[in-house]
Amino acid sequence: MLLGMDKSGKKPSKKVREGGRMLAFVKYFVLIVMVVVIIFPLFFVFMSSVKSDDEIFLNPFGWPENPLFDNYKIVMVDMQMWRYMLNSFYYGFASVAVILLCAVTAGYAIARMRWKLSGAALGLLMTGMLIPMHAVILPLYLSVRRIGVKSPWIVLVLIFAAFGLPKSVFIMVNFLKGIPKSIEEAAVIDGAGLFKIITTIIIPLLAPAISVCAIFDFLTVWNDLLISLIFINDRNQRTLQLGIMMFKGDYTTNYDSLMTAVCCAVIPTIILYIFFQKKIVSGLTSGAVKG
Amino acid sequence: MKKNLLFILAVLLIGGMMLAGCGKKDEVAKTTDENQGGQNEENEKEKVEINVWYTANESDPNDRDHAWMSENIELFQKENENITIKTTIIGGAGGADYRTKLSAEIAANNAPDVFMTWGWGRMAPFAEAGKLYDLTDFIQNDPEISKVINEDNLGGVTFDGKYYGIPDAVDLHGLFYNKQLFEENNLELPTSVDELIELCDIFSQKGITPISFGNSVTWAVAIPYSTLLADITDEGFSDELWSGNPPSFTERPYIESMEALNRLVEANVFTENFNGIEVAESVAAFKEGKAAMLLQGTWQCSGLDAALGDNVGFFSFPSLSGNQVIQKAIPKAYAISAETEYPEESLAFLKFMFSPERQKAFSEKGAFVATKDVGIDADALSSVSKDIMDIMSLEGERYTYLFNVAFPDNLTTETQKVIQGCTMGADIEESFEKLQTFKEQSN
Amino acid sequence: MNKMYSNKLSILLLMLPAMILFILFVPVPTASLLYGSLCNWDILSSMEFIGLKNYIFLFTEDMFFWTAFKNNIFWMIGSLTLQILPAFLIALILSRPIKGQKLFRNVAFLPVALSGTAVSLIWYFVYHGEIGILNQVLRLFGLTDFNKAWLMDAEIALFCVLIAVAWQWTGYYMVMMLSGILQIPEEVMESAKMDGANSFHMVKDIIIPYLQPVFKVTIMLATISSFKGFDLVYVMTKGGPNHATDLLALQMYEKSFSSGMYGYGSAMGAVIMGLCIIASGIINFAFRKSVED
Repeated sequence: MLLGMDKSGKKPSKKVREGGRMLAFVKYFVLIVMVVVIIFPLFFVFMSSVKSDDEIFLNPFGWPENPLFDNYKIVMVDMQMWRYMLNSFYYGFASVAVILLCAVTAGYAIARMRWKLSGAALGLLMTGMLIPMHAVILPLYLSVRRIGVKSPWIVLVLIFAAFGLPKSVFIMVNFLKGIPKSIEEAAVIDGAGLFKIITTIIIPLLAPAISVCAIFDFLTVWNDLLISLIFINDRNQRTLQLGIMMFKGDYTTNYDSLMTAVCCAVIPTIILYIFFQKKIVSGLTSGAVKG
Repeated sequence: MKKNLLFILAVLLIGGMMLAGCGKKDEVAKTTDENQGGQNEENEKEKVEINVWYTANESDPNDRDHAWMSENIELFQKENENITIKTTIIGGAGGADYRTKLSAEIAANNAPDVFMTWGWGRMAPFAEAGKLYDLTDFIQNDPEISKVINEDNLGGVTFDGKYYGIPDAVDLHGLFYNKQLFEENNLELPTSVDELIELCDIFSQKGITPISFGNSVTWAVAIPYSTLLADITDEGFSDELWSGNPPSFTERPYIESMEALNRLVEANVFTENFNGIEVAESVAAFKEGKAAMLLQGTWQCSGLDAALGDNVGFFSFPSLSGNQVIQKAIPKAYAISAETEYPEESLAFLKFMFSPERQKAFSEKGAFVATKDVGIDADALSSVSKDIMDIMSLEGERYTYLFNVAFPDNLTTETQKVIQGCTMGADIEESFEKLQTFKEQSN
Repeated sequence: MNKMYSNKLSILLLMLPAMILFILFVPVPTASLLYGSLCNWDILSSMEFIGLKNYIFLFTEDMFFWTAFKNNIFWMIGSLTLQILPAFLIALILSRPIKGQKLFRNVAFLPVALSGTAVSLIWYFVYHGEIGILNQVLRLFGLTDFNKAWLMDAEIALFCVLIAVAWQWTGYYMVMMLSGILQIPEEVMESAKMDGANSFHMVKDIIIPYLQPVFKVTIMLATISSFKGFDLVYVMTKGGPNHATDLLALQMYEKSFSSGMYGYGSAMGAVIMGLCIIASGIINFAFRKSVED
C-alpha cells in the first residue's frame, strides 16, 4: 500500500508528467545532498579509525596509508571495550523495557480512560522533561547514596527510565489520540476485557510509536556520559561512553583509539536501527489498513 | 517477529544480569573480607583494602602518571600482602571529568583513601571543607619522608599553615624547540620578545610554523601572558597574585602585558587560529618537524623524547626585558581523605610512592620530581630533560606561576576567556575592566 | 463500555508503573533544585539559606546571563528552523514512492545514533581553520576569502554549532513526521485526489492538518531541548570565544561543576525550567485544537 497510486490506474496528463519530472529531480537532488552530507563525515570517522594519531591530523580526508586494523583489537580486547559494550547494552535494553512498560500503560490511561485527572497526570509526568540535568544530577546521587544504594545496576536503569519517561509518554499519548476508537469499540462489543484489548489490539497498533520510543530511549542511554559517570564507580560496570574517555588524559589524547572506540560505539546502534526500522514500516502498513 | 524480539531482549537482560552478578559477587566478597578484617582485631595484619584514584590516559604508554602509578600499585601490593589496592582511573580531557567524579564521591562521603588532585585553587575547597587528611605531621616528622620532601614546592598544598597534599612533580611551561631547525638556520635561542619575533619571521618565510600552539583548552594562552606579566612587575605584585586576592585588573601591568602578547600574535609567531587548535594537533605538528618550536609544558617530555630524541630542547618563554622568567606549572598532588578508614595503610602507600626508589622510577618516566635527595642520576636523563633540569636548578632567577593559579575557579576561567578574547581582537582595556567588575561581584 | 473506560482500579493499575518511577526520581531533584537555588551551597558542606539573593544577582548583576539568554533565544529559533522545517520537507519527499526510499530513510537517521563526542569530533574537522572540509570546499570554488576558523568567529560560531546540531537531530524529527504522514488513512488521500487536488493542496489541506499532533510533539521537544542545549556547544566551543556562544545550560554547568557554586547553579537551572514551562504552555495553547476527526 503506497500513497500516490491512483485507484483507477489512469496515467496523469503529459503536462502533469513533465511538472512531475521536474519535481522528481528536485526531490532526488535534495535527498542526494542529504546523503552526501551525512555519509561523508561518517565515512571520515571510519577511515580515521584505522589511521595513526599523526596521520589523522596530517592526512585527515585521504585514504589511510596503512590501515591499522589492529586498532580495533587494541580497543576492543586490550582495553576491554567489549565488556563496556555489554554493559551499555544491558542499560539500554533494561531502560527501554522499563520505559515501554510505563509509557504504554500510562499513555493508554491518559489517552483513553475517562477520569478527571488525566490532563493533570499528563502535565505532572511531563514535568520530568523540564528538569535541567546538570543541576540536579549531583544532589540526586547524594540522596541515592544516603539511602544506602551503592550498586548502579538497578538504580541507574530506573534513573534513565525516569528521565526518558516524559518524552515517551508524550509520544504515546499523541499517537494514541490519532488512532480511532472504532476497533476497540468493536472488540468490547465482542466481549473483550481491558487487558485483552490492550495486549491484542492496542500494542500492535502502537508498534510504530513503540519502535520510535525504543530507539530513541536506547540511544539516549547508549550515548549518555554524565549520569553514567556520576553513578558508576566500579571499572567493570562502566558503559561504552565512559570507556571512550579512557583514551583522553590530562596531557594527551589518543585520537586514533578514540576514533576506533567511537566506531565501536556507532556500529551496534546502526545495526539496531536497521532492525527496528523494519518494524516501523510493517507496523505502519498493517495499521493503516482498516479491518 | 515480536516473539523473536522478546526472546532477544530476555537473553540480553539475563546476560546482563549475570554480568552484573559477577560484579556484585566481587563486591560482596570484598565487603566480607573487610568486615572480617575489622572484626579480627587480635590479628596484627588484618586484610585491608584501600581505594586509590588518579586520572591518566590509560591507552598512552607515554603517560607518565599511569606508567608510574600502575607500577607503584603493583609493587606496593607485593610488598604488603595484607593490603589490597582497588584502583580507579578516570580519563577525559584536562581531568575535568575526573574532578567532577571525585567531587561527587567526596561530597557523598565516599572519598577514595588516596587520590590524585591538584594544588592551589583546586585544592582549596576540599581543604576548607575539612575533607583532606592533615599531612603536616607526616611530612615534618616521618623519618624517611621528611628527608625527601622539598619544602619549596609545598606552596600549593598549604592551607592555613598546614599541609594537605604531597606534590608529585615540578613542571615548567615554556618552549620546546627543534635543535636541527635552529642549527640549519644558524639561530640562537631568543631571550627577549623582540629577538623572538625576528627569529619567528625567519621561520615563517621558510614555511615553517614558528611556534606550534594549540589553545582550544583556553587556559594555555595564559602561559606567555604570565611570563610577560611577571617580567614587568615585582615580587610584591606576584605575592598578591598568589594570595588569591590580586591587584585590580585595571592596573597598567595587566594591560601592557596583554598588548605585548598581542604584538606576538600579530607578528604571526603562533600557529594560525591557535585558539581553535587542539593540543594533540599542535604536538603532532612539532613532532613532524613542521614547526620550529612548541609552546607546552614539560609533561610532554616523554612523548617528545620518543619522537625526536636528542633533537629536542627546551627554554623559557622570552620576556620583554630579556631577563629569564622561569614558569612553573600547577603541580599535581596526592592527598588522603580525611574520612579514610585506613589512615595507616594510606600513609604507608604515600610513603612508598615518595621513597627514593619510586621517585627515581618516576624520574625515568620523564617526570621532574618534586622531592629532593632521592639520588636521581643526571646522566641517565634524556637531552631535553637535562635542559629542563638545568633551568630548574638555576638560582637567583625570577620564578613565577600562571598568574591565575591561586584564583577561585570561576575567576580563573574568566581570566582565561578574557585573555583568549583579547588575542582575537577584543578591546583590551574594556575587557579587563569587565574582568575587575566580575571579580568584585564574586566576592 | 464506558464503565470499562472509567474503572478506577484499571486506571490506577495502568498509571502505577509510571507514577512509581515518577515519584522516586522527580520530586527529590526538583525540590533540591528549587530549595538549593535559595541557598549558598558548595556541595561539600551543608546548604546555607540566603533567600532570593541568587535570583536577584542573576537578573540584575550577572554579566553573562543576558548574553546567554539572548543566545538561547537565537538557539531556539535556529533549532526550530533548521530542524523542524527540513525534517518536514524530507518526510514529505520520503512519504511518496521513490527509488531508494528505504535507503534514504535509514541514512537520514544515522547521525542520531552518534554520541556528542563523535559529532563534535567530526565537526572539528569540518570547521578546522586549515584542513577543515568547509574551508577546503570553499577553496575549490575559489572563495578563499571566506576561509576562517569558523568556531572562533564570535559572530558566526553559534550558527555553526547550530548546523552541527541540526545535522544530528533532523533525522529524529523526520522519522516522527514520516510516521505521522504514513498514518494518514488511505481513503482521505484518495478522495482528495479524486477531487482533483494537486500536490500543493494535498500538503496544505490534508497533510498539515493531520500532522498537528506530530507538529506539536516535535516542536515541543525541539523547543525544550533547545533551552537545555548543552552537549555539542560545550565540546565544540565551551561557550567561547569569550562567551559569544554561551548558553544558559553552559553557564549552569560552569557555575555548578567548575566553580562549586551549586546554589547559584540551581538558580540558573530553575530559570531554565521556568523557560521550558512557559514555552510548553505557549505551545500547548497554540495547538489546543488538535485534530480529532
